[in-house]
Amino acid sequence: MNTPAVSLEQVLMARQSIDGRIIDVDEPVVKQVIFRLGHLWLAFPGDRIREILTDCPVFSLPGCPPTLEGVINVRGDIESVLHLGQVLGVETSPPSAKSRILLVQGHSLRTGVRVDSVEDVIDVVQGSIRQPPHTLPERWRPVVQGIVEFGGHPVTILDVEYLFEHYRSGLL
Amino acid sequence: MNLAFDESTSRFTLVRFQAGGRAFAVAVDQVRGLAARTNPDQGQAVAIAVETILGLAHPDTQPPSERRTLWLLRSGQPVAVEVSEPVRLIEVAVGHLFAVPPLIAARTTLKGACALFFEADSTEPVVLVDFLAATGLVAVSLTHSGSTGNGTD
Repeated sequence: MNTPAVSLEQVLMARQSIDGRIIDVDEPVVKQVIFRLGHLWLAFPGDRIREILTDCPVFSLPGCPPTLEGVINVRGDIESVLHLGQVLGVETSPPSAKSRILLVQGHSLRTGVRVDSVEDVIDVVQGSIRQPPHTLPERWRPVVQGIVEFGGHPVTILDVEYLFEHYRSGLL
Repeated sequence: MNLAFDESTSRFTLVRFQAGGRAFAVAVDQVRGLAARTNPDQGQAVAIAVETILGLAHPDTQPPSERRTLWLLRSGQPVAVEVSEPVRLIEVAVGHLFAVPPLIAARTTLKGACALFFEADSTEPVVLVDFLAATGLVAVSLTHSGSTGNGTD
């Protein structure tokens, strides 16, 4: 048989260069819950999401601003529902079968958060989370933890603590 | 806020009323009595609308015949507050009272809201208010002109 002599190392080197990247399996991953809000792709860190609620009736309360939809009864616990689109100034879709309420846990409080749809729950390699771009509008910068890619879309990861505490203080 | 608590049944006694088209309740301890709507033209006390005290944006549109005067106690003095029918005594089990969620407590314009509960026959939450904490009530006591209520119905 007249075949060129190729070592195992060469084959592996060649495959590696085709594959193009090395995945460090020891690099930490973080879960992200990816959702849509109007035209935006957003995410909350998965460890802050207690539940994704569907078909949950929201009861309005007198005196609430438009950013607060009202309250929901989650198996005997009463939780507020934040209208994230109103808080961030994003035009959202009308309520539909895809609408969800994320039950989000902060350090000092928990609340429901209304979103247009939940797209996926994914593990993201921590090192692949990019810093927010400098072109991000000023009012958005503090609330953005980072950017990840999902399905060809840039997904903005939101800082739950900043969002909740600044909203509670009336700064958002 | 003190609530009349029946240890044998683990229930609180509250006075439920309407204001601005929404359901509210107050601890029976803060209520001295309930009377027909007062008429200042006949020398009766001037009752302030409860919607003003609670900071509700829209006044109640109920006709005068649907309004009652709730006599509250503030610092031992009777204070006349106008509320809408139906006004009734209710009992609420301890386990059915919920604290107002923190974001709502921080951002609501409603004054004196201290708890929520759901009635068995309704999905609308009832807001338990503490009139002693509602700042608008100070002004009411200054307008009080002497006449008092007839006692709780």
